[in-house]
Amino acid sequence: MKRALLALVLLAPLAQHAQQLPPDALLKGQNGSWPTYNGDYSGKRFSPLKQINSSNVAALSTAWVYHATNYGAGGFGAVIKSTPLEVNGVLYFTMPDNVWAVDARSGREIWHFKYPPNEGGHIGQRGVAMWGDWLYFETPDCNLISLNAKDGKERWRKQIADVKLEYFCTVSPLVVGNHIVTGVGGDSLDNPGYLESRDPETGEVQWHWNTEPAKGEPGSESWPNDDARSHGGGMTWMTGTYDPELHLLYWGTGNPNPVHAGEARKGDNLWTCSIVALNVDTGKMAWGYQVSPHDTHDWDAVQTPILFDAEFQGRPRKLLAQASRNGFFFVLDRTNGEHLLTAPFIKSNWSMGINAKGQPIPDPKKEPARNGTLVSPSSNGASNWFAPTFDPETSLFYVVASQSYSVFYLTAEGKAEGFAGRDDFLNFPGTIKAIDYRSGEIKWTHDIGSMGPGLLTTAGNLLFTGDSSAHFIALDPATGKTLWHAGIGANQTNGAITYELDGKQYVVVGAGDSLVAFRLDKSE
Amino acid sequence: MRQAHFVRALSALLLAVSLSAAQADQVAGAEKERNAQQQKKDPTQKEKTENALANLMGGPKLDQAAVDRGRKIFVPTCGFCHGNDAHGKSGPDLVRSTLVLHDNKGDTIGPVIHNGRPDRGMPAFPSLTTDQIADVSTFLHSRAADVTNRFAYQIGDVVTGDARKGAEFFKGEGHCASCHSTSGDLAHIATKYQAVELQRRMLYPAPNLIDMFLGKAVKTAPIKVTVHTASGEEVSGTLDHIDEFTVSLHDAAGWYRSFSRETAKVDVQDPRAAHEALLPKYTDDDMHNLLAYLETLK
Repeated sequence: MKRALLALVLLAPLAQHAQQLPPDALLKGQNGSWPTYNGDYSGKRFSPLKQINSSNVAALSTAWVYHATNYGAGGFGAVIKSTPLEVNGVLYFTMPDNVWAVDARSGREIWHFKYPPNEGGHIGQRGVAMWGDWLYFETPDCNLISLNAKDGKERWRKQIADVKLEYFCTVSPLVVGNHIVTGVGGDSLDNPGYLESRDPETGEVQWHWNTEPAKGEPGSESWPNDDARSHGGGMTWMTGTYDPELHLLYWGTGNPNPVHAGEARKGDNLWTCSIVALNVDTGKMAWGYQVSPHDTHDWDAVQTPILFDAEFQGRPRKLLAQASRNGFFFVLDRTNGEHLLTAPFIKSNWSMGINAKGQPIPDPKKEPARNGTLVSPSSNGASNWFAPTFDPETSLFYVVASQSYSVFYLTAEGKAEGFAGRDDFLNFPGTIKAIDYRSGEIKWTHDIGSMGPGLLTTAGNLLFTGDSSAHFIALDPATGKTLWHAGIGANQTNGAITYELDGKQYVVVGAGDSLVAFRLDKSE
Repeated sequence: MRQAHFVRALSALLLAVSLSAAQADQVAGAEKERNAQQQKKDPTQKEKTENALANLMGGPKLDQAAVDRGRKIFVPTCGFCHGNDAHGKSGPDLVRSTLVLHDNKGDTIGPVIHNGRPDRGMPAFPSLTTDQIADVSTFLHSRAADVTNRFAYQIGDVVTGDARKGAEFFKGEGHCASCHSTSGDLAHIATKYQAVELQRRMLYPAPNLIDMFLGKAVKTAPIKVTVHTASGEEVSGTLDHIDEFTVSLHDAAGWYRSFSRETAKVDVQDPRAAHEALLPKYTDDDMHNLLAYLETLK
């Protein structure tokens, strides 16, 4: 109570002046804060802050540790996978069923919102979104909850997907103007994936985009029949990116269903395993690009589609790049979806080559089989949800990459539904790779032991990441050489963020159920 | 080392897994399992495993007797149109039916069963009692659970290869014989593991993810390590942990020792390295043939 009062006192002067985060503020980028899941609309996770830099990083030391308690749930999901928002000196972050506000200067808890136990999937929670004075939180059982950022009190809740059909929700929504864009997850019972935009004040649906095209629409011909198309999957479980000039939203979609059995859904299965561009006001699709036609290996293409403007083959272009779970790196022109580059970032073995559109051609012999097929990558993928980063100063794209293998089995007897198969994981290697977006060339590889956490680059010539031995690490983004490391008590579980308060730059990282903040020692 | 494997693989799962409901339920299941274990005194190892697996698969635990009773009603009454497995025939698929998935003990399917759907050609079954309909409901929920619980999926017969060719691969291309012997470490190997397990361990001798999740003790080969310190000392032992910054081992006397990698030179002899190197080289036929050969080692 004392804490809550203190928070009210702290926030009161601000509240008198303006909203905590007017949606237009997001158009200005990070501005020394971290107001969205990816820091800004581009998805680069590159911060212009450089007080902490390669020449002084050796003096980086712990500012505070926040240890979360009383979060219930437990299990694998009860770690901080969320990327905290930092707005006006307050961090907002989550675990499934839990939202916290913590003082970004001191790590002191301001409030804790707890959602009651529920049957939704508790595998992870990626974070909240903020619009004005309000936060938006997806619960495991697929309620979108609007909370007052001041005190964590619930304003309203709206169901955004049907948990009885095995949907579950984890996404950090994306705020664009007057839109709260929400994605959904859950691929065990052959449901369609979709994206929705909701009104920030009322939670009412503004538009609904379905992964599978409606009957007769372009792309519907990539399904053999209506039954397959209407049970085709393609979940939207990672936050997308946005280009304010083009007014386009970019989102990755997940695997088709039934997951491992492709027989009853012959065809490309649009728009599963795709990057799609939607008009943010209407939800109308401007273009789509499928990175895994007819996937049978669970390789969701939901990895952040990073937006940057740069030269490509001698021409300045508006680019979009994704290092996809299927092991290939793609560069597109984001104005129209024109394909520019496909290059492998691990040695996968499932494709027979690249077609004229730049898509890997799946080898039917590597589809899951009754007696097993040995496939790289595993269903965990060559990468997964761990945030990639693009550093405009090195012009390199960085990704957590795994040269993993699995034996994929088809198991369904009779009609294939749900996963209809499974894979037996062999190894779990993990590296950070630096990819030259112009050629796809791997400039360096840094071993982190296992599939790891999200990445962050800064203008201080630093790349922050973690290894699988509970270290938080700063690398030289040009060479991959380690410049600094610190034990943080548990493996890094989210993507680190950075912000500046009182002239001091902080770097904050999630490690299990703790947040650890670093800043330069006073002597610096 | 076992612990290190466990933590590493588990953290990989924790961070990496695809978002599927089954896996998500496994998360919730882990907690349910923990609570159940705390309340229940001294369950046997078998019970522990069964409980953990049931929870790993997610969903509420269904009353098996009700499932069986429901099946006995469903098959002769409904199976002709909906299929005995409820996957649909001339009538709709009831496994992924919204109406059925929302049902609780017959509250949504009851009226449909009692009244039929004459407009769609479904006859009425007015004589089924409330209890019978509740059993049918439980049976249908069990069918959905069979689909969503992917870790319960049974893998079929995987021994399909040519054992003779597998023997050739073992001695030749695979270079398996340089570390293994069919009369030594691999004698009777096929009696020690189920075929699926053997296929995985043959490819890469690491524990099964589900076994690790269940906390099952898994034997892994010790890894030998030698550390040359800056002062010229040479220490050998069994690797405990290695990362970019530190290496630790248990020496011949059983003492734990750790060294900073800034100054020490480390030589690790990981027997899994040869397995890792072979992974990109196998064809699926090689894999199936080699398994068929190992399956002859009864």
